[in-house]
Amino acid sequence: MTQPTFAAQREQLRRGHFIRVVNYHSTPRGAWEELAGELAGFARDYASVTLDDLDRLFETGTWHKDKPGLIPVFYEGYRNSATVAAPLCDEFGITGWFPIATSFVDCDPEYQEAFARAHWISLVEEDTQGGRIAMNWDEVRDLSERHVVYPHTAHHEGLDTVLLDSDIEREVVESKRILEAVTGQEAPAFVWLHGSSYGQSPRHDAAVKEAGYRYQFANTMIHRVN
Amino acid sequence: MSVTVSGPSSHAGEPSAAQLLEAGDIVGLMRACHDRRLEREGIPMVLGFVDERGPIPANTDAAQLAEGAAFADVFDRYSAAIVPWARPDDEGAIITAMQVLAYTHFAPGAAPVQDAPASASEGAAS
Repeated sequence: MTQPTFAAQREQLRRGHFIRVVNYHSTPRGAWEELAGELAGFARDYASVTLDDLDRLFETGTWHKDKPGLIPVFYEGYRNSATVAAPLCDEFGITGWFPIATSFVDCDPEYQEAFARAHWISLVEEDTQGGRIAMNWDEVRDLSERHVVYPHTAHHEGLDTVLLDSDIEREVVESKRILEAVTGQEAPAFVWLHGSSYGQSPRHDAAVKEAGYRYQFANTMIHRVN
Repeated sequence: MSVTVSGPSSHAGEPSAAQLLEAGDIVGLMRACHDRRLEREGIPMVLGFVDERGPIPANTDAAQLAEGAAFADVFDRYSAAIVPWARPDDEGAIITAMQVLAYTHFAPGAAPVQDAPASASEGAAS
């Protein structure tokens, strides 16, 4: 298991084993132009990264496109990830990566603001003007046809709060099962709240591996697990 | 290989990453990247990658290796400037140093990594 350390990070950089990621959260319609400008700049100067591209990077150790790869990640499963971020990704030919807190999507829209506030999902004014805040399952299914969709736990939890076997089953295993049932395809990756790395809790690592995830994303590195 | 994009830049009236770097203000860079407006700006990250099943083949692209070496050098400089107190396995401190690296050298409006002054960490110590 590779624990996050300064030495490990330095070594990965020196080996050329690194990739660029940009993490987004709520992408409100009111900020459409700013997001469009930022994504347009990234699309011009960087290459999109599909799941196949990431697999190839791990298989060869070398990025294979002329421009450096860039993975834009849109966290949580906000409705505006489907209605703002995804259309912009489509416009600029970018593959978006969408980690989804599956129970946020499952939550009755009437209670989604409370769900968000109870589970460290940040909200902007536009999110609190009534109506659905999270994607619905149709939007998740639609996204998965052009982009990469995977669980960000069920309830947006970190490994420090997922303690019981039943908690692990719900947050790691069941979230994958639900997402795959909706999309009809493999959920290829997993990410904890706070982007905690693989290699810090053997019990949680084993759960991620046994659930069959190919990758665990963290805020220090991407781990190939299976 | 360029490590910079030109596009929307830092907030109006605030110094750019390049200007902060030129001034050797690594703490200022840390503040700026933590001040990204989450609802409309992405948080740039540079992530390593590792295969828990076995070794990853060596990278064979000279430009990517050179860029990685440059990133490793600035990672060491920024780590020394802002998180010298950290344990070797302090994940939060590692992320903080890597965020400064990413914000400074690949966020929109960022400075090319080759322009990083060797003395950058000295200015941050004060």
